[in-house]
Order: sequence, then C-alpha cells, then structure tokens
Amino acid sequence: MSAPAISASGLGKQYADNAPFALHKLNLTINEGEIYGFLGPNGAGKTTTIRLLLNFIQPTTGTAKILGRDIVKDSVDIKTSVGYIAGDISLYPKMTGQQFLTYMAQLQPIKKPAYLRDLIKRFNVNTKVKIRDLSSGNRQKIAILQAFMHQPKVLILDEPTSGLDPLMQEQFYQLVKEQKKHGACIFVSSHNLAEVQKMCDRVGFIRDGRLISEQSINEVADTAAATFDITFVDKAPAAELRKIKGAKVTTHTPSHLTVYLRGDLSPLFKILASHRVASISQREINLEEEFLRFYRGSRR
Amino acid sequence: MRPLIKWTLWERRWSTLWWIIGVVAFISINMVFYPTIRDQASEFEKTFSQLSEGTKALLSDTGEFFSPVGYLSSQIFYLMMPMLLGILAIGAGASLIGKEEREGTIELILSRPVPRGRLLASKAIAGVLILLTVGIIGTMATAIWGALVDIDVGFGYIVLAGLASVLMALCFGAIAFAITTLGRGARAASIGGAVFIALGGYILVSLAGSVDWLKWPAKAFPFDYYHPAEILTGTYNWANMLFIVGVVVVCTIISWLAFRRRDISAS
Repeated sequence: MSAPAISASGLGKQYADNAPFALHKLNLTINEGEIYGFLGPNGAGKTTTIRLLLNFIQPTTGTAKILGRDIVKDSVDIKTSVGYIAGDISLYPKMTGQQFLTYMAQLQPIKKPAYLRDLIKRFNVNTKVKIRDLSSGNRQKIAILQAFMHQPKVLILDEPTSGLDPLMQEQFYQLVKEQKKHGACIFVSSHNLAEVQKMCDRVGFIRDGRLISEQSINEVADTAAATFDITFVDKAPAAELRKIKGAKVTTHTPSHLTVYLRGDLSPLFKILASHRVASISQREINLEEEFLRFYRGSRR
Repeated sequence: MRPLIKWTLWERRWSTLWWIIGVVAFISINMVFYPTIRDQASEFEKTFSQLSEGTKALLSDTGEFFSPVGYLSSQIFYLMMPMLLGILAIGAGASLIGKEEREGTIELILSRPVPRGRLLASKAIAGVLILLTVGIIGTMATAIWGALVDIDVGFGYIVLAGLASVLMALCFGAIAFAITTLGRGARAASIGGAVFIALGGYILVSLAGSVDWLKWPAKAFPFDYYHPAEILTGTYNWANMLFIVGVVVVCTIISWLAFRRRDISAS
C-alpha cells in the first residue's frame, strides 16, 4: 500500500518559549485522491499547519510527511510535487500575469505548457495586464494558475476561492475534481460550507491549536442546521413552527421570520404548504458555526 | 539560480538606472569644478588651513584637498562614493530578502523546489551585480572626467580606488543583509545597524587621527582599513582589504546559518 499523501504525527508549533502551542500534537492522515477540508476560527492553527507542511516554519514537536517524505529533511524534494495557494496571497505587482507565470515556471518547470494555456483560457485570465492593475478576483485566478499549472500530486490551498465570482468558483471546483480524478490529494482551508460540501471528502475541525474532530462531509451535512428566511403573505405561523422538534424561530415582523432547524426538514415544509408563502431563502450554512455550536455543547 | 537573479534584477532595473544617473551626476558636479579649484588652490589653502585637524580628517584621508590625488580622494573616493554606494548597498541588503518576506512573496518562491541557500545566494549575487554596475559606471565616469579636467592620476589607480569603494559599500550591504536574515525583529534594525557601522565608523576613524584614545576602537570599523589616497598613489597595503573582505565573508556565513532553518514570517 502506498504512503499517505499527507501525514502528521504529534506535529506541534510553539512560537516562543512561554507562548501556548499554536498547534498541539496534530495527528493527521490524508490519502491520495482525497480532498480534505480544514476548518476552524481565526487563530485556530490552520495557517500554522499549512506553513509547517510547507516548511516555512520549523516544527517544535512531532513530524509530518508529504508523499512519504519528511517535511523538514526533504522539503525541497517534496515541493516538486506540491502546489500552494496562500490565504491573502501576495504576487509581484510590477509583473504582468504572463511574466509572473513564466517566473514561477522557471522555478518549477511545468510538464505540459498546453495545460497552462488551457487553464488561462478556462479562467479567462488576461495575462498581459500588470498584476497591480488586476482586481482581487483576477489576482486570485493567477494564484490558482500558479498552483495548478505544474499538475502537482499534492495541493495545499488556503481560502482558494476568495474573491472569485460564482462562475469562476464553479470552474475552480471542476478543476479540483479533475485533479482528484488524477489522484491528487488536496488539503484546503475554507470557511464556506457550500464550498466544502462541493469539494471535500472529509473535514477536520481545529480549535485552539487542537484537531477536535474529523468527519466525512456527509456526516457533517446531516448534523448541520439549516437557516431559512421566510416571508408570509399573511401573518406568520410562528407558534406552529416553534412546535417542530429542533426548530428555533425568530420573528422579525408579523409576516417575516427566520427558522433555524437541525435534521429532518419535512415538518417545516408541511407547515409552509398550508400557508401562503411570499418568499423563502436559505442562508449559507457556516460550517465553523456548526462545529462550534456542536463542540461548545459537548464541552458543557 | 538564474531565474531568481534575473527577476530580481528586472524588478530593480529602473531604480538601478536612477542610481546610475544620480551617482554620475554627483561625480560630474564634483569633477567639473576641479579646474576652477585647482586655479585658485592657494586661496582655498588659506581658508582650509584655518580648519581644525578633526574637521580636515572628516573631509579627507590626507588632509590635502587641491592636489590631483587629494581632490579625487576628498571629493570622490573618501566619502562620496563609499557613502552613496553604501546607501545603495544597505538599502538592497535590507530589502533583497526582507521585502520578499515582508510582502509575503517569499512563500511563492519557497513553495517551489528552491533551497533556501540558493535563494539567499541568488539574492546576494543580484545585489552584488547591482552594486558593481553602479560602482563601475561611477568609476568610469570619474576616470573620464579625470581625463577631461586633466587630473594627473593613472587610470588603473582610479579603477582600483573605485573597486575599493565598491568593496566598502558591499561590506555595509552585507551587514544589513545578514541582520535582515536573522528574522522579523532584526529586520527593522538592519538599516540602522549597518548605517551605524558605516557612518559611525567614518566619524570615529576620521576623529581617531586627532584623538588618541579613539585609535583602538576605530580598528573595529571597516573604514579604518580604507585609504583611497594611498590607493590613488599606489602605496596602499592591500592586506588592509582583508578586514573588509573578512566582514563580507562573516556576514555571508551568518546569513546562511540564520536563514537556512529559521521561521519565515507570515506576511
């Protein structure tokens, strides 16, 4: 059996002698062809983990391997097989997109130039414009291109769709799926449940430097609560809705309310079917909130 | 290594051009007045003779200002060239790695199969090339002006004095570079530290000629080993340059030891 694409054993980081561990004894195994979502609030240790894996910072405890090679000793070799997008990425503002991609390709030769041309076309990137003159979305597209253009076996992505419009986000999810099909392992840090649901096979949640839980994405979605904003033509049936098991209802106006519901949604729709509904919209579920809610509950 | 050097030079191409223009302009301004000053040397001598020894030492390493060697040394090679090139070198030394780290672009490079030592060496080579370009053009401008205004100093000596001033500046740049590679806290101190050694050394060494007790502390500063007037007359003991070369070598070793394993700061 081949080695996991990414593995960590007791990996920890303490930035100063008396400081708390920013990452505490992380144990992790991610296989080839797997997309792993890494979630947690700001300062939880997500970026520290990513920076350790890429050997930008040195571990205080433990070890980690990428494609069976040690992240410290074999750091340079590993990077022949890794693509990386930093959160809040910085590019070279004076270069055009083309110059930047040429520079990056000179540092890490690409296998198929045609693949890069295809990516440029798919993401509709104007590579002739100076990076400083590009919108944040277009800069993010260039960041995606530089990470994927050499078709790496492992992709480490920190908020990869930040700033992208929905069309380009879809294009990105498609790209990720294609890489997964080719056996690439993708480690992605994100805040967005819809994105994680679309992309990931498994999710790990980190808080205060500790990996609290790992679950498959289906398990997470099953336990996540849905939030609906509903406006009725007449008075809202708030009392009726409050009777649904697991529901929380917040009334904004006599005809407008928000229902927060975990689990089976059919009782909600049965009630709605018997009333005149003017509009209904589902809010994006924040996976971190779900986890936080869950784990706060479990700690009590 | 080549792409790292090439793109670093590309990024700094316009600032390098402006440095060349600035240095050549400074040299030209100083050199163009030589015939006038030479013709009125006796009157200037009277004025300068009233200056204290300490003040004279700050302006020249010979105390002589109006002979060809005295003029070239006091106006170009003793202070102006090493200081101008020193500013360039300190700025580059503090920013070649420091700017990439501050702006987060270093992560783009280190996320690729680039060993840290190679990155460091490439940046250092790019810095040396920039400094050499500006220094050589400045030296050539001095030599050409020297011929135009009839300064009777050999071309070879002018070139050697120019290279010595480049080496002095490189020494200050290497100090800034080494301090920067120590990490985020040190990065802020890199320019201050290097300027202290450059400017403080210049003042200390200049005053050491008239203040006896400063002679020993002055020996710790590179300026003490730099005597352009002696280079211009062919009497310089080149073993002195070993101290300056030694500082560059030590700074290079410190940079490598510090940078190869340290944490890269988050942007």
